[in-house]
Amino acid sequence: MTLTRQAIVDHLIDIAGQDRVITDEQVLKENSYDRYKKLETIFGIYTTPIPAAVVKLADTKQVSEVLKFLNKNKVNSVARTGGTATEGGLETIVENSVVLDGSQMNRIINIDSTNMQATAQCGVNLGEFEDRLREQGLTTGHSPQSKPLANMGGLVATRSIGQFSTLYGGIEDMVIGLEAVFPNGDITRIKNVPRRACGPDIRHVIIGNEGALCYITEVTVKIYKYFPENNQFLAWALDDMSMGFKILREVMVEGYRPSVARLYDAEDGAQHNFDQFAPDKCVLMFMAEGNERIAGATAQGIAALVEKYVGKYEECTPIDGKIIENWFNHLNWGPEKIAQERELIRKTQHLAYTTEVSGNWDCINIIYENALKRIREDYPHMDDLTMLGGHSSHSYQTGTNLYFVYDYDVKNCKPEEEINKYHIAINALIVEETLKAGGSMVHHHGIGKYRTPWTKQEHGSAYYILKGLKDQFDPNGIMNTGTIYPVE
Amino acid sequence: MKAAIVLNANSISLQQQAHEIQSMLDTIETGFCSVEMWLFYQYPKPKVFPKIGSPLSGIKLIRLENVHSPESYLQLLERLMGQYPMDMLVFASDGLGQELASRLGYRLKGSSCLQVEECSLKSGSLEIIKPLYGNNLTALFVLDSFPCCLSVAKQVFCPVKMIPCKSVSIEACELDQIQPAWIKESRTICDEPGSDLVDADLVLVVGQGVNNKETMDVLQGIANTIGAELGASRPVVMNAWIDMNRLIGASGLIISPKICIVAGVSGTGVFSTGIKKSAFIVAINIDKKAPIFQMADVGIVGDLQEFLLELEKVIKADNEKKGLHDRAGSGIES
Amino acid sequence: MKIAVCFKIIADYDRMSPKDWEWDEHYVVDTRFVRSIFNCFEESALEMALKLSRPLEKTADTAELTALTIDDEKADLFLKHLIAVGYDHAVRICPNKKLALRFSPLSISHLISAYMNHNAHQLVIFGMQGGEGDNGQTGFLVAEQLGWPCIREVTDVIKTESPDFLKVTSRIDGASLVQIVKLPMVLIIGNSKDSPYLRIPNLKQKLEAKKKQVTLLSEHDLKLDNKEGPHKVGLNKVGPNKEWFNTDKTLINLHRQKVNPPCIFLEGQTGRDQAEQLYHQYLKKRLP
Repeated sequence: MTLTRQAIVDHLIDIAGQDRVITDEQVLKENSYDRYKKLETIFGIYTTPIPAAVVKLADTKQVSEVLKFLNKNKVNSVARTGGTATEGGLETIVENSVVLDGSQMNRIINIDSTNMQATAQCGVNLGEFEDRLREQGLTTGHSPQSKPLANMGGLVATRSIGQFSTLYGGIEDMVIGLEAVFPNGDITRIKNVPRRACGPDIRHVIIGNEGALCYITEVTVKIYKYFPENNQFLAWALDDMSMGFKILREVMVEGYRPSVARLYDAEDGAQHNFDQFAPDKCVLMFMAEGNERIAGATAQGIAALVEKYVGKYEECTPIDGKIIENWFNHLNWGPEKIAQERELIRKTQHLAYTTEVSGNWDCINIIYENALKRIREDYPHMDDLTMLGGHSSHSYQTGTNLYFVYDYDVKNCKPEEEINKYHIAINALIVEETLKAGGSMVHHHGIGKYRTPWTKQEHGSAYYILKGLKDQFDPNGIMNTGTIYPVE
Repeated sequence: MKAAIVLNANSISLQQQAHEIQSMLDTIETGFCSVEMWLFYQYPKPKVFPKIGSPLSGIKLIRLENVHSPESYLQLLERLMGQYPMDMLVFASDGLGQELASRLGYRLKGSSCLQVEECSLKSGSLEIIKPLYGNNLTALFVLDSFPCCLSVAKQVFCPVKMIPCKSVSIEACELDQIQPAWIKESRTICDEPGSDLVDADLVLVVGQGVNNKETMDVLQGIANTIGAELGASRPVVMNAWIDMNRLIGASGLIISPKICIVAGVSGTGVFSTGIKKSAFIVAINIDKKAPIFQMADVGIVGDLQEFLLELEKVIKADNEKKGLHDRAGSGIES
Repeated sequence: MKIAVCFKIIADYDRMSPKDWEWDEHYVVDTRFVRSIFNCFEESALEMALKLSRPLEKTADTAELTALTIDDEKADLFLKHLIAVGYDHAVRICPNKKLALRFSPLSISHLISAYMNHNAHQLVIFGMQGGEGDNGQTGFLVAEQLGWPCIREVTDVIKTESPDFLKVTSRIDGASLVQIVKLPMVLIIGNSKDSPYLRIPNLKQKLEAKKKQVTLLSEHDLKLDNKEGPHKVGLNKVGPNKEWFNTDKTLINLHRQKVNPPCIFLEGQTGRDQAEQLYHQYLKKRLP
């Protein structure tokens, strides 16, 4: 029998205590969405069902007790810490869901500079974590744009990646061990060892599960020595993206690992004011990081490699690294920027969104060109767009990612209809072209709830493995319904 | 060297303007031979005058028919300068003062400068100090020609008294005035009664970190409980989350409370001018690297609403304890 | 009606750190690595002019808009952007690079007035202050030179039924002043809550703007080479003697305020601990 809303709340109070169960209407509304639905929520329209309660979890044991209760009664849960998810992963689409808020589990448990690992609970803010490490000359190397706001639980749950990934890798390369709680209440701890071959790597069941399989309560990540004084910025203006991808590939294939490797097209670059020093040009940039010799060698090596193109093609010209450094230092989303964005949207009904994908070197430029062509030809509301462009920001031996960025004025459309008319429609075209060309539809934002129509196509025959995990760990379907796995 | 201070007797900020002008005059090491006051007024004729620290050699009262027309002031000032030439004219820090200094300096083929903080006489030339580059730097300029028309910089709120000036010669000037032909209609809409912000001992200044109007309402409540006046930085005012007359910064109010709690403000040059004269600054910001911490005495890194709610509880509890103690001390049963 | 809006792009000072505030022997602070932006008052002025010229209801008499600046080629991007949002003309006066205009509103105003004398406009709009010098005087000086009325600290301007008159709201001493005023005139924009930002062009508008040209003018084009200036030339004269170039003040030094001692960060496990510490250790003794 389905529990009533009040019954759910009463039981939760029994488990966690009155203070930890929030039923204030405004708080519930704010916890029904994430950074996917901007316009309607700015206008106080909440089309997603409002959850029954937000539980501010105290510790792992409480997570287990709550999950056991929800599992027994088939009540949907949504795991939430920093709230900066961008794909609707935090939307409470099932009636009377319960939001499991881990932000108060915010202790930095240990910083171990002998074994070079640091352990934090899921509610630890990455910015604060980084600041604490940096006081000791250390770093996680993880720096997504959401760093000032995001927490460790969510960062691991979404397989997040940071601005310095080309050197440090994504979160999956950083996680050593984890603690996670499963719907049946089982508390599982994966120990911290440098590597092992004791069966498949089960950390990867948890990393990237987006709250659809378990609840992450604690994370141990690698830490590195921090040498910001050795950072060197290099940049060039290029005529087109295909040359940019070519050079980017060569840098990676030659073995260089700059922490930052980015390629912006002219349109996307313009909104970062790159047109002020490289008008109508693509901008290719690198940052070399590490101890003095490594950073020095990386910078010199990349400079020598790209210089070949400067001599050969007039369309490749150097840019003063100081400009890029200044720009880079002002890139992150603080709460101020987000608040400013919301006010601006409220006043101007002008929105900005991204769809980010990945592909091997041989198809990335095809994805870039085909997706933009498709939008320009097939999207019926091109007149409302004020910006359409893209950039690559995470490169690998075998390929790179691609961010498509689009801004638009909302015209002739109610706030709650905007997402369908614009973002979802444009996103669909990009996803289609990417899958057609053999790329992946999501590089690091997570599937969330809105790319689920393509989950099976994305995984192909391997969907069997992914589905198996859901059948095994969440047979009652209480873990963030609608995320990753399409609702049948 | 002769100087005249130009003021409007009907201005609501007259006493503060006089203080700002005096602050600038105090920076001149070599004194001028004489300082006069030229006071514009509408009826009735003023009987008391702002107390100026420098000894006044005279006061001229100039009746003004159209108090909202800068043209009227300029005509009269030109005529006065023709009759009583001055080497320096000092105007108030407000928009009118700035307009008059600039336009009159041009008409008289002299020099003009705004936001003058300090002034000195060196080898027969006037040197002034003013801010530039968005209040990030100050500059020393030498003014090339006389007469010099200066509009002074804003200062913290410290209005001077009004006094009768019995020992100073007061001359009334009745001059013909041509009405501006280009104004077809004109009306004024007075502001809501001014805030006590500039006088307050405890001020809470909030910035974009506030996030939304609802939080502003919460913070107003906190401010009321702890006995603080509420001010804000430019982005908050421009979002219409608070009245324009509570704007803190170079283009708004300059405050100097005993305690200034500044929350959710990053702290750029233009804003910092508004609070730098505070006796004690507490900064709250979620970003440890925010520039505001460079000017604060004490800093808290964290969520401003959470912290201020805690502070409210602490202050409230202490006040209640004090209240109980007072009542116990006075023999009243609690 | 022909409207001209004068602007000058500046470096985004908020993106500069304390160590960036250094200057060379010519008192120039290097801001080339920081992005340029419109200052907030001029941004409002540019948007207000657009609103004034193209009201929401369609009428026959939309005004002709010109954006005018005195700068080197880095301003062209901004001028193109203004064409994209709806400006009919974008004009850049190219001064001799050696001349130090940044602290000479007098010289700047001569150039602008010369342009206005050759190109009849009914309304010229400025922002309250900006540029490196934060001079705050250019608008007033242009009004003097053109012999036009001037309203400062404008917060709003709208058309009236009569094409020769505008309704202008501005800030004065403790009040708002609403006037119906006859053109031509100079308006100086203050804090405008209704028009805080410049509108954003769509892709089509940006593409169209790329095809249009920015008009470049020199002193010669403005017929200023031999014009008699009303003031003597400043002490720090650089370059050839051009009478329109006049300063009434000369820069002799720059100064940056000393850095304050570092702030004490309150440690404390919880907000409550920190609040207690703040109140009992620092605030209580300072409060009345």
